[in-house]
Amino acid sequence: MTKKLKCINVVIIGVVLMLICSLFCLPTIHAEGNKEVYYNSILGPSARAVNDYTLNYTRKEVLIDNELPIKTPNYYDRSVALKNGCAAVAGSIVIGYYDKDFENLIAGYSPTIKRGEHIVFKPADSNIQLVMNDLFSRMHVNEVQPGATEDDFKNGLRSYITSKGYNVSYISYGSGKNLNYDGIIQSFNMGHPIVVFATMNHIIKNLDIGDTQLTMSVQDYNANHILVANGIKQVKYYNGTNVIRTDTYLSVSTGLSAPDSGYIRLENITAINDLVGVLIQ
Amino acid sequence: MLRNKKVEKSIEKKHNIPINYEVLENAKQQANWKNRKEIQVKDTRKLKLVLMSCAMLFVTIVIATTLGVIFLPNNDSTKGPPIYYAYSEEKIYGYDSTEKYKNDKKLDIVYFQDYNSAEEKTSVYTDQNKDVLVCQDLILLDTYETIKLYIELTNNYIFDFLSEFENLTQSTKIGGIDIIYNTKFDKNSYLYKTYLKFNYKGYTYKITCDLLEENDWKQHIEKLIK
Repeated sequence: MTKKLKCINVVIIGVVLMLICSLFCLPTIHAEGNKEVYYNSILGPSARAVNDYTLNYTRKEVLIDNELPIKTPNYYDRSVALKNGCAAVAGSIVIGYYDKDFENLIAGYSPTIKRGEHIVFKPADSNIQLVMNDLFSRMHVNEVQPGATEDDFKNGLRSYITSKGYNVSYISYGSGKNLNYDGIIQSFNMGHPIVVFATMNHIIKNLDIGDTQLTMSVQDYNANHILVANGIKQVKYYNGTNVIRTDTYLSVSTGLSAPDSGYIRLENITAINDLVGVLIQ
Repeated sequence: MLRNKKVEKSIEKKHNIPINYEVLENAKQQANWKNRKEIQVKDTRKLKLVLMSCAMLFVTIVIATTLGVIFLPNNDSTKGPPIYYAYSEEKIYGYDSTEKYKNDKKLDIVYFQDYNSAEEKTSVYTDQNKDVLVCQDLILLDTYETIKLYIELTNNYIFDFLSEFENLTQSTKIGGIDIIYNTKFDKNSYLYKTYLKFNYKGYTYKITCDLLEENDWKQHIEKLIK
């Protein structure tokens, strides 16, 4: 009788403990199921340095080649004050880009300069740093976890733009392998940059697509990162009549100090979590 | 033996009582006094010697270290095995200015200074809490040209983000310093982008310039190593 009671007690205590544990654990499991990606500067392990790649082919076919009329500015956090601040930096690139047309976005500041007949963006001076600092706060960077989510980015950017008297709309061009290339091309043709939310593994520092040889120098970069795309190139490489492979490159302002611009290869990147066109009106 | 006798005499003198040597000898034999005393004297000398040697060694090490810190350049003169350094914002911190960094760390380095209208930012790259690279980032506000100066504080690091400096093909001499460089026109910024590097007073300097004219970088280097 006493043994039976003991057994029942043990079972009851076990069940109660399991219930208590599940109360603590279930929300965590649920949260992980819907886990949001935080974009920050925390790096995954990186093999080493820069690798140079060469691909030889007999001919190539350029399937897509579109870019913004003026490439996006290559801003980065020169003050090194905004830890995990890639969202704020990417936001400032968008703001700086559109400030050429919507001058109240950065009051009393002209983001471009003339070089001969060409218009180019100035580097990230103290005026741009102020915009970055503002966005860093509006995007609530590092307030929940290191970095910011896609929603933090969108809400913070919207907050900034509406505070200057303009409106913004976001258009998604897909994620993973399901990308809307027609939409991307149209976005660039209309002069709208695209924000790239990616789980990165590389940045192409130099890309040279010759007549019969492709050369790339690729820097390892393993992080959840936000970049701003200003062009797209899709090229099919042939050896005789056989297709070797098809590459799609996004030309980007990286938001990093080194390199501040480059390319990502969509077929090789760990994950495109979202491609978002930004349209300010 | 002589020493023991001296001790006995001094006891006799102090207490003004003649010593009964027979009793004393017996007592000494019983207590094995002689041996103990001798052993004790021997041990103290050895200990003193060891302590003095240690103290001298310690003082020598302290002096050598102090002199080394004061007189030897901070740059690692010995070239150890290469350490590959991957770019990470996590490992960079900002500093007020390169001038302040030089003064605070007491480094014999050169940097760009005395520009009338320029914005300067300084960042320091670290590896395991050790500073390995300093970057002076300049914007010349009249023309929006830019100059980035990297000073390598160690000799055996290979920085992935500085790979452009590995294959420089042209060379020249400025102020007696050998400089290797490459210049090309950048069609995005419509500026001449120059990569150059040289060694100066034990440090490796790597510089990128985005300037209006192809050879403008030479004036800046002359100013740097005047």
